[in-house]
Amino acid sequence: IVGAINSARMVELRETSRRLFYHGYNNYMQFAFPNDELAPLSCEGLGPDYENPNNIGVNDVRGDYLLTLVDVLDTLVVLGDREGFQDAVDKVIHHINFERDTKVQVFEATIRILGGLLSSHIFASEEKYGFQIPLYKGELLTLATELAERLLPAFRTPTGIPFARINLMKGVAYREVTENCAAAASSLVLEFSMLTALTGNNKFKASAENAFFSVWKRRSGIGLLGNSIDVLSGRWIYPVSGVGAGIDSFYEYAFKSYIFLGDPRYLEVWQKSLESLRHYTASLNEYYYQNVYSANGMVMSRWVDSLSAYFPGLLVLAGELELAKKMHLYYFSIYLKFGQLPERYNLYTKSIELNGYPLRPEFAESTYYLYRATKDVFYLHVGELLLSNIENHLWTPCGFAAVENLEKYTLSNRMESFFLSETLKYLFLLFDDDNPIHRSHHDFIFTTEGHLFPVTNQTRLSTSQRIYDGGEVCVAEDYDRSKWPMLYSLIASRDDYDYVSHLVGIDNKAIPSYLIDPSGVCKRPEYSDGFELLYGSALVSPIKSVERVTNNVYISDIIGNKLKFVQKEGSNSLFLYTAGAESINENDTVFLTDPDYETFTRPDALYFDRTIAQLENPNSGQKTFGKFLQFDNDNSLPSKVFKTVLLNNSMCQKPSDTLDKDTAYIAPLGNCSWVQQAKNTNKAGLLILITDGEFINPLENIHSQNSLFNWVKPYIPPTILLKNENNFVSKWANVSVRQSDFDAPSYFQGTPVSNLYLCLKCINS
Amino acid sequence: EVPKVNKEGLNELITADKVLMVKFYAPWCGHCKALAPEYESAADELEKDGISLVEVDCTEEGDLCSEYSIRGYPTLNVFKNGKQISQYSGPRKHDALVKYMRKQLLPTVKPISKDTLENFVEKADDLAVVAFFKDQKLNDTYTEVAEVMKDDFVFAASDDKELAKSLGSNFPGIVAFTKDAAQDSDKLVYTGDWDPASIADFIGVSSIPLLDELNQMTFGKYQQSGLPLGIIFYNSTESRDELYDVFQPLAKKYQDTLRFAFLDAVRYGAVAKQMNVESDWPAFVIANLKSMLKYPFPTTELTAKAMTKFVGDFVDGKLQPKIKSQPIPESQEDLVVLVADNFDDIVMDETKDVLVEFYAPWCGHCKNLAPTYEKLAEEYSDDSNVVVAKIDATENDISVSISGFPTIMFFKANDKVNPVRYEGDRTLEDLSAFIDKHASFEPIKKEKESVPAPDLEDQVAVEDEMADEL
Repeated sequence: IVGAINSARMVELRETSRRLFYHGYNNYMQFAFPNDELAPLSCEGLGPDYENPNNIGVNDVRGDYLLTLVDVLDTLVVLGDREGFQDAVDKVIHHINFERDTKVQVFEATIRILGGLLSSHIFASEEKYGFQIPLYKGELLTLATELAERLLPAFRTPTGIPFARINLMKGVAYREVTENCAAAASSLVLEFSMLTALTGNNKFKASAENAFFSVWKRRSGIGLLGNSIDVLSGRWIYPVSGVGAGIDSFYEYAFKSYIFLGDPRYLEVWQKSLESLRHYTASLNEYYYQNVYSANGMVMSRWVDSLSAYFPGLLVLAGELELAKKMHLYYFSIYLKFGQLPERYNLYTKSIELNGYPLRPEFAESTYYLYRATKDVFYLHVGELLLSNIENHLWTPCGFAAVENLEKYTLSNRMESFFLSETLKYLFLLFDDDNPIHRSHHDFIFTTEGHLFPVTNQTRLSTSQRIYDGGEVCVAEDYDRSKWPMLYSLIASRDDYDYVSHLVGIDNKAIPSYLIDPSGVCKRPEYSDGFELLYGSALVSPIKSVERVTNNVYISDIIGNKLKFVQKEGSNSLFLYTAGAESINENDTVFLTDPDYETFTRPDALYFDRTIAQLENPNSGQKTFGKFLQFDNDNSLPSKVFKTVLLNNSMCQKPSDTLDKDTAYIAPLGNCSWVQQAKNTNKAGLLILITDGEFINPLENIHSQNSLFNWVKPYIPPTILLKNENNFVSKWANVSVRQSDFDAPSYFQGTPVSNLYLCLKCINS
Repeated sequence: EVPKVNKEGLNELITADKVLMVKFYAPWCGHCKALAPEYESAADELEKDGISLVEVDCTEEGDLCSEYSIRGYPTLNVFKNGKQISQYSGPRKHDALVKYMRKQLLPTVKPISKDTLENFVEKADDLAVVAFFKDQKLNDTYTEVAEVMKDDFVFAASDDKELAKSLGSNFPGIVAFTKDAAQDSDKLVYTGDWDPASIADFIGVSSIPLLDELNQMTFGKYQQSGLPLGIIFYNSTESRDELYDVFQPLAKKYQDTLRFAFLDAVRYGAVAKQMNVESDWPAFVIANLKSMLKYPFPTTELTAKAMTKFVGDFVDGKLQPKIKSQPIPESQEDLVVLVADNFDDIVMDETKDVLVEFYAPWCGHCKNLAPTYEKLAEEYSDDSNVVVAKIDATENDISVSISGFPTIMFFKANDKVNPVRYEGDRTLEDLSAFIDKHASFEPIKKEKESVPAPDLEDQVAVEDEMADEL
């Protein structure tokens, strides 16, 4: 990077974007039109794979309907190319034909073709946008209606959720696959609603809307959707949630449909979804969102995919700027590490999980949204990097090639339509502050394919249907500070800027150092990532909720309630960060009150070092903490004093004498189970077992005898295990047992957890 | 090499009563990497003075860093006589570090005489402040100021009345010795009252170079002075040299009223837009750093004559600030588009009630409101007493303070100073009711269009059709 991005440089970069677009577009028109896609290495056109109808990687998208041309129509509008737009519309009208024996994906056909036709129809027919075409008679709308009519049969399922694929000529095939993903099934509302607004026929909007809410209705008890669903039964096939592929545009269309339709039901879906995503899928500090089981939020994969890079942009639109900035920083670090966003990035090995970069627009899209909201030059520098990368590495003599392998940088013979319709559109707009899209007093939203839809009263609910609207706002952050001379980038000067690069495993030198505040600091992280625990099946929802009472949190049933632990920075202890649906704050204390907790604990799992009582010498006042597994003190006295009797033999054999309930018996720890020893002294007031050797884990015995323990629990005395230190016996003529304020703290693999306790008293209370 | 220490090593150094600086850092922190070579240079240089510079890696010594409540990296703590005395927050350059640490070996106020004055001034890196007094009370006042500012400047005191007069100062009095070449004299004489605030202000203003470079490190000085700042945008060293000759006389003349600084337009061109300056170099703008009003010079012809007149007019209060404004729309529809330039004309019109929406074009909630708001304007289009308006708050300087978008305010005809903020639901009915409730005049509204009932029937029909198919 040579220098700062000032006005002159902005113009340069904008014109570079334009030049790159026309390099791709003109070559498509020359070598590929009227085929769907340009093959950038062989310089020919690509269409459906008629010989292999099940080649869904190809046929889902290429429906033999001028895909790339239709998809880029409104990019020509953004570029201000009136003549090119008119010429392109004319070609579409004269060449497109939907009477095709091709099976297409409903979602892809909707967002790319239907969206492209509708957006362009609006520009071609309305004078106020400046692209009106003389003698245009609504041909694009006619085509759009025809396409939608051919797609509508896919919605005729018991659930209203559409089949994933449909043949444009023959309809839904007999024995058609009944699996569809949440995103493809639900993200049709903008396009079909616009069609309803333009034609007056409500069936389009009604079908898409019904599908959307039918998917939403099937969210889990913790508010998360699954990934793929059976359209006939409505059951989740792949019950995994996240913000990436398969589910991504559901959230996008929830918020954008709220804007477009003014319908607060969609806002509610967005708000509830974001709340669940933030709680169950977000990483520590919310730099990324992981794939989790939708039933209980347990992490199920170690990667994030590049499609989820759209999410920061959506967060901006919804006014969540801080979340957007953080997430974008993470994707930027991944980008710098590999030169592009790989399809999947492994969060733990910090390497590529699924290789390749198919020219996706999502990261450019988020960069664009964040720049519009913050005007921070950092995002211009990101855009500059993206452009430079495209020009230097993806350019071919007749177009731009996707990357097959990012490590070897081998190119792939494919240029998907979204590269011209989205990636370059967003980059152009990033560098064009004065674009009519930005300067006009009309509001637009982008569809998931980057098509421009004006926000007008045409798509609004009639007055009588309006209900409460929450009054949400976008925060006007740094309002006063933006008036000061901006001598450095606020983004590049964030106190977590370097930490995010560190998480991804790179040394971020991409941004000029003079954009960074010379007196800036890196914030010391409070926690670092730990691990999660889940008892029960990953497909089981929490049976009982975790309950909060001011600063105390009670876990009454551990099954299905995910426990997330984090490591406290600079400390040896762990911290329980979330328990089920509850976030744990610094001042909270968590009590595990599940009476069956022992059933689930294992030596390699939770280990309870529980001090529920303490021994006290009533004469000297000396105290010793004991560790035991059972205590019942049902009297109201603060402590109870026991006479002490020393027994010479272990209690593995029943004592010959009758034991007294007012006496504490001290016996050497035997070789049999301590439960057995306690059972043999069931009439004692208190049993103290002395060991000379290393302290043993009392749970080791329980695990193999848990049924026995549960059965005998009411019949054994309070039992304490103690090390024999300095002639213990001779010092304790009498013992007193007092209840502690807390039940035992917990450990995980020997590490103490600073805020989690077992609380048997809570069970009784 | 800077030694890395753990808890035992650090305690050993602290208890040795040495003067010590400890850098708490993390190896992944970019700010720490930028600091590292400067810190090493400083450590080498200070070694011969018996001052130790060490470092603690907080990713290895977590407990130690928690003990010192380290929250950010780098944190530079200074120890002396077995305890921490300060935390360094000055420039992270080796010369600044060296100067700062050496000062820890010296008293805050150094006694000087006629014979030692010259040496004292020469050794100072920046301003050298010398006070002349005999009174203990004045000493307390002066020491109070010196303790606060000692990190940036050096302080001395003398009771030599003759020496004070020979320097052009009163007795008691204060003289600041500057190294700013743009100044006519290296002696700046204080003539104000002897109170801490005034003395500190004098020292602060005296430390600002007359004509220097504006960047991240120097901006703080100009900001703290509170004086208006004239920013000279240049894009080449030749241009800068020419402009220096133009502005140096003005900087001297108006140094108590106005400060000047150069700004590299190649590097910081984005600042120009913020200052309402066109990106044509060279350029000049006067910015009031308190009110943030900007006064750009309209052309690139920065001649001595033009600049003398322009600056003189500013000082005399004859200039009008340029407010950032979108262009005034050529025509208006029912919904009035406000920009900064027409805001007062329309909103402050005392013959009209004006409802204003402050929005950001990137905000989804504002986009959601837009169609409803247009309908609202349409509803009042026949009422000449009511104006429904909107303004892009991100592209126009506005005097109204807002914290979120959209913000809706109602400026009543008879009370423009206290606009009523709308807090209700953003529906057409509720907004309309809000206007009617607060209106100063009898409302005149357009007849509402009838509700198209067939929507619901169509939906039922679709559902019936789907049921039939199944």
